[in-house]
Amino acid sequence: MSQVISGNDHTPLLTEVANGDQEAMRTLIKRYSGLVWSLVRRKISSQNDAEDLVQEIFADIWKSAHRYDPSIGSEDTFVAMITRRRIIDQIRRIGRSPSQVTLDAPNARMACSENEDIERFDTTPNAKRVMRVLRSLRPERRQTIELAVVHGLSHSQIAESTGMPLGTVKAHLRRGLDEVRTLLNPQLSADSKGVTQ
Amino acid sequence: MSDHRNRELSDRLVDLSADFALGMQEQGDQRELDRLDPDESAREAFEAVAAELDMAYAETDPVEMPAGLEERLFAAIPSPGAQHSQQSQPDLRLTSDQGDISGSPQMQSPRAAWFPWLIAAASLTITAGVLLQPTPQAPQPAPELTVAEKRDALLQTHANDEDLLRYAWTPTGDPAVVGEVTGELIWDEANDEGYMTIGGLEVNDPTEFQYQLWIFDATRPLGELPQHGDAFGGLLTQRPIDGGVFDINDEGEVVIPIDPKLLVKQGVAFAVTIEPPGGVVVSDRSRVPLLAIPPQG
Repeated sequence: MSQVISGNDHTPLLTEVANGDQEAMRTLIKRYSGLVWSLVRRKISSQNDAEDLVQEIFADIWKSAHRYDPSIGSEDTFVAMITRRRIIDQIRRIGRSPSQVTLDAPNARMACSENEDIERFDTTPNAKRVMRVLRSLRPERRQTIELAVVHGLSHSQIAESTGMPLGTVKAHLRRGLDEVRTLLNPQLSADSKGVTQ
Repeated sequence: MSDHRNRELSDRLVDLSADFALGMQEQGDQRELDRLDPDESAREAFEAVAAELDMAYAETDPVEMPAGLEERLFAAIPSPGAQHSQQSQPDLRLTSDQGDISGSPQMQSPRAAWFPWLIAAASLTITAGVLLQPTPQAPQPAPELTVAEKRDALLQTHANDEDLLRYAWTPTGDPAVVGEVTGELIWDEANDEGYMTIGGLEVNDPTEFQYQLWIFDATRPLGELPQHGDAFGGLLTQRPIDGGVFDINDEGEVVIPIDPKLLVKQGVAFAVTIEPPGGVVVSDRSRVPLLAIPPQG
């Protein structure tokens, strides 16, 4: 099994990549290809499309590396942000709404469901921290966030699959994300946002 | 730039930024978002939150990367002589089309990476044609395989191994079963590829109802839909993966590709339901004419 490696404990490479350092790019690919693949594959059902998209994402990272500012944010968040943008673009480009990509989203594994012990997860400390924050939310907010963020469902698909009114779904998502932003803020202020203007 | 991570945002800016970060921006919101968030820091703050959440799940439940992908990524790194351009300023906003990212000095996207090889291959083909064929012939494009041929190819691929899941249909008492049910379901888990052959189901008018396949994955949680009972170790109490909507025509046994909407890690049972046109997100399973399940006993 490929390991998804968080870059939190690594020396950032993007500055070197921005200078055209091929070896740094190779190391960056080794470090993040598992993460990028996992993010892509759960939302793009075609393996061929997913592989093409991963290659486009790393091409984009190569091109955009100079926009990364290590004093502001973590490298893995930068990589994940670019990845998510590309996934959303891809879903739009191929004419499928996110909801059509993940029609079964309610069935997806709810990794932070109440009956699972986060501390027993074989994952990174940062992932556990985020899961703890997520678990602290009201269940309906947590559910809508999982369906939207992790599985790419649209507002209307979440409404259909959960039985919640559309307006309620939107409210849960928007307030829920803002709540997560606030709860993660002490850490985020140190290491979250790496894209600069 | 101003930093929206550490201060309160207006409700409206929260709404717009959250929608943006999730790719759910509504038509007409962009101008208002640009006005409220001129330096884009609010939307980036929400994108970072979404990225953190997505990463947490990916790190907790990773998906195995296909063999060879990493090598292809390495191969797409530009050569030492290629200058790394920092002049272009890609717009990192979420747009429907972010433009070409495969310019020459940039790392090549997959299609761009293949292009020189296609040119070379085409040249070789032309050369070989000139040297070996006394009478020039127009190149014939490879015919697209039919669904039936693709199914046959998959069966052939696994002719000498046991890696292909192969279930005969188990009909139920649903009135859509109108004759002797024939056919089977085959599923190649390693490649997420599979086909159904089906005979004996009622021909449907797609404007009235359609058939929909559901895939039960052993790695998914059980017990979310307890009303579906304890059969198969409670497997049917999980919410299955949508395997695609399809129709039955009057041409006898039909061959239908399986189109899973999510990665199937361990498909162990399959069910065909009858649904409204276009299919549904969550089936009430009120009509289940066919099952494809492990042999009993």
